Amino acid sequence: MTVSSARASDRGVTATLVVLLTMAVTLQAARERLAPPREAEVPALWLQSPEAARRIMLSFTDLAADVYWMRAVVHYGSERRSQGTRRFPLLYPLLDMATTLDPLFDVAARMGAIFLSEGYPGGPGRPDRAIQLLEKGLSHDPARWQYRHDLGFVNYWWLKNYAEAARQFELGSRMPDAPEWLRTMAAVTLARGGDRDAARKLWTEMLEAADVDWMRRAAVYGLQQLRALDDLDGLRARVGRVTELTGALPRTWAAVIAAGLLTSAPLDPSGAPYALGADGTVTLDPTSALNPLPMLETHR
Amino acid sequence: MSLNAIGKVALAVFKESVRDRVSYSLVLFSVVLMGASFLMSRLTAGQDLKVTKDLGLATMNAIGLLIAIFIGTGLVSKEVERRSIYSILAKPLSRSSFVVGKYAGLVLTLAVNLALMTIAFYVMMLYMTWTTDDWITQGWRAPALDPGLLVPIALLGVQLMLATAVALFFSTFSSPLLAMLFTLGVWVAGHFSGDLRNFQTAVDSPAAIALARGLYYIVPNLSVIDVKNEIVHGKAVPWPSVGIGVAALLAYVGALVAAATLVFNRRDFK
Repeated sequence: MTVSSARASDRGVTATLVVLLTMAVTLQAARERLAPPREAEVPALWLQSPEAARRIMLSFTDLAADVYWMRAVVHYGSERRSQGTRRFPLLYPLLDMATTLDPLFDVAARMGAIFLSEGYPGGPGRPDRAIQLLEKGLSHDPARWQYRHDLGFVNYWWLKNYAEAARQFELGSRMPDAPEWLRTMAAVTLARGGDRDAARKLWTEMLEAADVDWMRRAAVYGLQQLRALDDLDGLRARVGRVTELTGALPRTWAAVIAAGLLTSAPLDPSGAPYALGADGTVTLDPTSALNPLPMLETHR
Repeated sequence: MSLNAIGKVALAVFKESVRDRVSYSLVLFSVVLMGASFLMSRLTAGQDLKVTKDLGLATMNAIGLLIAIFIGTGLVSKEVERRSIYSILAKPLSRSSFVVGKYAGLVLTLAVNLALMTIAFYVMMLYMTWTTDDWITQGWRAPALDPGLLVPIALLGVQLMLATAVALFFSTFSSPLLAMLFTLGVWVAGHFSGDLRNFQTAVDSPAAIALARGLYYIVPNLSVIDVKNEIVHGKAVPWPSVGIGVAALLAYVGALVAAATLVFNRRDFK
C-alpha cells in the first residue's frame, strides 16, 4: 500500500466514522421522540440512610452535605414552581441527609426548617419535621441560641403553641451571645401570643439578624403577610362603611372608590389585587403569593 | 545512609514527576473543579462560601491522594519492571538511601502540588471576597481569606505523607495494581477506624470485639486530624487531640519507611 493510498483509506475510515456517529445520534434522538422515557414520579434518593452515607463518604462528608443541600434547594424550588400537585416528597430526607453528613451545617437545619414548616402550597406544611431538624442541630451544637429562637418561631408561627414558643425563647436567651431581645420576646409571647404586633416584632428581629438572603426573603414575606392582614381589616371596615352609607353591599372596588373611601383598587404587598366577593367579603386574590395567610388576632 | 545521596534521589524523583503529565493534568483539573464552584453558587441559597471552601478542600484531598497513590505505588516497582534498578544499585548508593530518597522526592512533589492548589484556592477566595456584598460578608462566620484554612491543608499534607509511605511500602514487594488497592484499603480503613472502636454495637462475640478494638489502635486514625469541618464553620480545632493524632501518624510514616527499607534491603534482584 502506497502512502497516498493509505491516506485515502484513512480519509475513508474517518468519513465512515463521522457518518456512523451522526447516524447513531440521529437515531437516538428519533427513538426519544417516538417513545419518550417516563419521568419518575418521585425523584430517586439512592442512599436512604444518612448514617450509611456518612460512613461511605469518608473524608468527603462536608462536600456530600453541600450536594444534598443543593439538591434540597433545587427540589424545594422546583416543587414550588410545579403546576401540578406539590408534595415535596424528598425535602425532609435530603435535609436530614445534609445535616447528618455535616452536623455543624446550621443553615441547612435553620433554612430547612423554614422550608418544611411553610404551609401548603408554598411548602409541605410539616412543622413537626422542622422541629426534628432543629432539635438535631441543637443536639450537635447545644450553645447555638439561634436553634432555640427558630424552635420558638416554629411553635409560635406554625403551631400556635405560644407557651412552648415562650419557653424556647427563654431558654435561648440564657445561651452565650444571645441577644437581649430574645428575653423580651419570651415575655411578649407569653403575654400576647397570637398578637400580630408580637409576630411583627419576631419577623423584624429575624430580618435584622438574617445573614443569608433566603432568611431575609422569608422575613420580608412574613412581614408582607402581616401587612396584608392589617390591610384586609382596613378594607373590610371600608366595605362596611360603604354599606352603611349606601344601604347596599359594594360588589366592586369601583363602588368603594366612588364613595371616596379609596383612591384606587387596592393591591396586596405582593402586588396582587385584593378580591371583593359578591357577599362583601374581602380576601386575598387566589393567585396572590401571600396565600395562605396565618390566623393571627389583632389584639389579645 | 547519606543525606547527600537521599537528596539526589529525591531531586531525581521530583524532576521525573514534574516531567510526568499526569500530575500536571491532575492539578489543572483541581483548579478547574474549584473554579466550577462559582457556577454552583446560585443553587446554594447563600451558602456559596461554605460550598466553595468544601469543594476546594475536598479537591485538594482527592487530587493529593490520587497523586500519592498513582506515583507512590510505582516508585520502586517501576524501577524493577524497567530493570533500571540494576544500574541504580550498581552505583555507590545504599538501598536505604534509595528508598528514603524516593519517599522524600514524592513528598516534595506532593508539597509543591499542594502549594499550587492552595494558591489557586486563595485566589478564588480573594475573588469571592471582592464580588460579594458587604452585608453578606459581615455574616460570614469565618472570612473567605481565612488563614485558618491553611490548617486543614497542612494536616492534609500529613495524611498524604502517610498515604505515600503506605504506597512506598507496598511498592517494595508487590505489583503497582496491588499496591494501589492496598494503599486505598489503608486509607479507607483509616477513616473507618471509629467504627472499629464501637464494634460491640454490631456483634456480641467478645473475641471479635477484642480483635476490632485491637485493630482500632493498630490502623492509623486519619479522621482525628481531619478538621476541615471545624475550620469551614469557624469552630475551635481540638488541638490536643489533633496534635497527638499528627504525632501518631508521623510515627507510622517513620515505621512504614523503615519497613519499606527493610523489605527492599532483603530483596534479591538477581
